[in-house]
Amino acid sequence: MRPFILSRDTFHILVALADGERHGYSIMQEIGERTAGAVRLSPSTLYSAIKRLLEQGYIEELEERPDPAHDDERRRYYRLTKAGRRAAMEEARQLEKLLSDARSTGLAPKRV
Amino acid sequence: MGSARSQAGSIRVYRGLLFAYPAAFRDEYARELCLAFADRCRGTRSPGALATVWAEALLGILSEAPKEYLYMILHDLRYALRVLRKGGMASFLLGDLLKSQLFEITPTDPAVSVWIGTSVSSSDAGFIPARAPGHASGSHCGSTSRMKLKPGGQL
Repeated sequence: MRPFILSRDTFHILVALADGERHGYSIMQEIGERTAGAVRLSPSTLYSAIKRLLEQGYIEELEERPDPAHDDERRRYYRLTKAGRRAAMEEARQLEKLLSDARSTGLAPKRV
Repeated sequence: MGSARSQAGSIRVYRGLLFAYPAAFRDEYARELCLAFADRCRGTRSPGALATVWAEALLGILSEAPKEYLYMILHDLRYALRVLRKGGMASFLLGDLLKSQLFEITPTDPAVSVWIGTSVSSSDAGFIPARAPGHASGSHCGSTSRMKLKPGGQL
């Protein structure tokens, strides 16, 4: 099986951005809510990952803020690119396969 | 939690800690990092929660700042290698190295560098002179114009 190309934190960030553009703190909040507080990214971890994702072309920074009237103008917004969406989908497929293998060996509960 | 003053103090201290990062990263993301940290602090309701935010922030800086330095060094190395490959500088530098090892003369002498670089990259570069003219006296090779080149890279 091909090794995973995204780290856990990176994948969480891509998932958080899958349904729309967000700024950094909003990404952190979304990940916290989605995982019920199990994954908490620090600002350092988040922006290191964002830097890497920008370099790889998986996310891009928005030229304009989505809601300039009700927002802090210092914030930067990010969104998923096509390449980022493809990478996240590939990662999800790999995880699905891994989970299916775990189910077949009894390591994970079977689907009902 | 707490007063606005204690939050402002926390942010000031956090901003100071960001000096652990490389300057390029700091220039690009320091403001965003501070904003996110400030939001985190604002969201806390007890001293314990603020302590947790601080612990995460410190751990984040301690683990990520060295990685940023490493990425920066790797990035610079990749760039240097690309430049070397493009310009055929590998041969040039190897020539410089050989020159300084064999001739023990000033490594910035361009004529010798170019000559050795050429001889290393040519197919019949088997000849390596034992001593450069004038070296036996212990003095540095004053001028490369004294070295007569024959076809094929021989002296």
